[in-house]
Amino acid sequence: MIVLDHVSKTFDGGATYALRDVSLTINEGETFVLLGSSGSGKTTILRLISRLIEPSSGTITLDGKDLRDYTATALRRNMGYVFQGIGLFPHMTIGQNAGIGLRLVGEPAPEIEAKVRRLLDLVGLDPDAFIDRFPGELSGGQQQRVAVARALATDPDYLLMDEPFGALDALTRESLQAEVLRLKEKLKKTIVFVTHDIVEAFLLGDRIGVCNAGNLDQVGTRRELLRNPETDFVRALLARPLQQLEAFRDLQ
Amino acid sequence: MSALSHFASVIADNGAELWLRTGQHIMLTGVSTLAAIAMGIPLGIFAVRYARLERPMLAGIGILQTVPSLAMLALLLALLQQIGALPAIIALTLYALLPIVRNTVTGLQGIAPEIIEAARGVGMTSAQRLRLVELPLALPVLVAGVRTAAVVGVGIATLSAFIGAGGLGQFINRGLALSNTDLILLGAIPSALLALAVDGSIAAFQWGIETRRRAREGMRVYASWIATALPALILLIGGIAYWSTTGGGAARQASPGAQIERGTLRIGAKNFTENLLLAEMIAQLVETHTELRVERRFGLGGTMIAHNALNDGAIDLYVEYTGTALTVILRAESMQDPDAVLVRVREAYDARFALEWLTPFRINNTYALAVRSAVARERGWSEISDLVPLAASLRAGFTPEFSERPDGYPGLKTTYGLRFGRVYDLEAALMYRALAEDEVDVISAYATDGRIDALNLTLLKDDRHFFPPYFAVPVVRKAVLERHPQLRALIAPLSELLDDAVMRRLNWAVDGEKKHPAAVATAFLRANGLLPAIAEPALQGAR
Repeated sequence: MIVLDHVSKTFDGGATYALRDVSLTINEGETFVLLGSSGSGKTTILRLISRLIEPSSGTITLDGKDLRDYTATALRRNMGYVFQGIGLFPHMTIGQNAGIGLRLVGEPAPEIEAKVRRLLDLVGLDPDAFIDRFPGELSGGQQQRVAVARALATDPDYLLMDEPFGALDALTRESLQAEVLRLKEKLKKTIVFVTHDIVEAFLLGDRIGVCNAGNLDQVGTRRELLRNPETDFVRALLARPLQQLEAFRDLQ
Repeated sequence: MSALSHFASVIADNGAELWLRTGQHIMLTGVSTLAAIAMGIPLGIFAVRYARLERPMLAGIGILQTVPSLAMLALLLALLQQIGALPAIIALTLYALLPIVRNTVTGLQGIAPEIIEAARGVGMTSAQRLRLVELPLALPVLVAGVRTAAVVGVGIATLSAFIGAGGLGQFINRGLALSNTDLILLGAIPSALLALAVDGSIAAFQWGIETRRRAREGMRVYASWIATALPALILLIGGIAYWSTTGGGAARQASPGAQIERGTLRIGAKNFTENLLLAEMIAQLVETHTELRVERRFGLGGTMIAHNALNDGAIDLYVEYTGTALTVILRAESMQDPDAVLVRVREAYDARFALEWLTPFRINNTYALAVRSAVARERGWSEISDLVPLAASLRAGFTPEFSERPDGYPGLKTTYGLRFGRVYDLEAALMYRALAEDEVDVISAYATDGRIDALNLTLLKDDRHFFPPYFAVPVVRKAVLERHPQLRALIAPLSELLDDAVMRRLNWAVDGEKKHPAAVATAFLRANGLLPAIAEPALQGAR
């Protein structure tokens, strides 16, 4: 369980806030989606959770313990992180990339290879075909599957995914979304998923938090958001896909 | 004989020394480049980690780079108070630092921020990030920096010969001093080839590393291992060449604060024919008539370098000139009376340096202005004053030392009011050739130079008696004379035998007839009964 308690973050000494007084609880085993446009603060929340940055005020606890009481590296090794963009290491093979977390904790090489093969299989890549290739030789979708495998390698309790499919074409994105749903059922991990895509948020999220200019406007299930939008921003945001759908229908 | 087979014979004649000098050259460059890598990469990492350090650090190292190589060598010589490999290696290391630090910084900064974020995000510590991600990704840029440093180092290392560190520069140095093109090429061609080999080997190293990362098996893996080992192989060859010929002796020569080793006399010489000849004669006398072993530290690149080496005990003896000591070392006004000058320098050296001036040779190698004889006849020039009205239209070629010394051009300007239209700084051997080939009209010749007669030059009379006397005199450390008082009597007979005319003839035998200084010295000493007719001279170097 991750709890943010009145957390704010400023990068310029208080002139502007990337995140303002956010309180939020992410429950064990749920998939929590942070939804918002760019600059809304959703990625900031993710980076705070993995301690890539520290809050300016407020506290974050993980399983009841203050985040600052964990070693940053140990904390990150227990949180699989799938980065916006790609974030694979270009000089390492797919096998080395996927197994890097295991290598960092000193796992013996044969066991790493065995695990990496299972993981590649899990994310839908043929281990024999891919394990010795380099990221540059793979398509964007394949690379993102590797990134997911890398995040899962250490069998972390938490999985942080920062717009992992943002740069992919619609078809690839759909198949990877389906993959995440499948993994979610299978692995029962707590997932924090950042996206600007409302459809993706509704598809994947058990609960959704709507971020707007550094504030967390509303948190709820998709049903709660649709039935009872608490701010004008949330209402407008949720109305947009329907408007788009109607515009699409008019064209036909 | 074709040029190629001629050069092959030059190589064959100097095979053993070429092997030694190549070894020394590789060691000088290799050790300094490795030291620069060991310091430069951590410095570059620091500069990137602590961004505030980056600009001052690169600026500081950049300034080091702008110090001219010879000035840097001279400076280190003064600071370390010793000649030989150590100051040379330090200078080379400082020069190698900039490309390595700068490329380390550039390489690390060039890594995409997302990659760094990913490395942190997967839980790497700072050290793991450096080792597993940053350095491997920066490697190509980093290796390019090492390549630049090593290739430039091979070039600069040729200058180390000026401070007695050996290397292929020794041939170039000696070739320049003796006007011997074969010797210059014997140093220049191998050092150019070495630079190419070093460049190629480091490129191969990089290819090897990258290939090994990608290839798992087959011929490419073997090839990559071999490629990676090439730089080490060159170092190994250098090490073998060096130790097989010296047994590490050259390293001992450079030991700090060198005391007089019992039984060894280290004789220095400045980098020109006459000084080398006189030093060689003394060396052969000592080798033949005493139990002392002689170490020749020839080719020292200037008066201050030779004097500092003597004063600091890096050498025991060299031949200095009275006028030079008076004006350059003691910084006194120049004087005309030869005896007064000798008394003055002898007393000052005794009081200030614990160095003794022995009996002077009767050689006055004073400066003189020289012109082409044909031109002198045509225009009626016989003394320096004749040049004054025309000076603005004349081209002068001076050695850099003459341009600076108070008893050189600056003094000439005040005494005669001479101001030449153009003044070129020329290395001594080139200076004579430039005059003979009408590239310049007047040069700063040495009165005992054999080329004066051979190239049909005329010395202009110093009608205002400006140039002080420059009598050649062996200067010896007093501590050495106390231990070996017989040196005085051993060297004294040379004073009786040598005068300006004899010296000019001997100088020409080397400069003009291209005989080896050691052979010329031996022949002269034998002819005058100072060496037994059958004694084998200590031949070294070129024909």
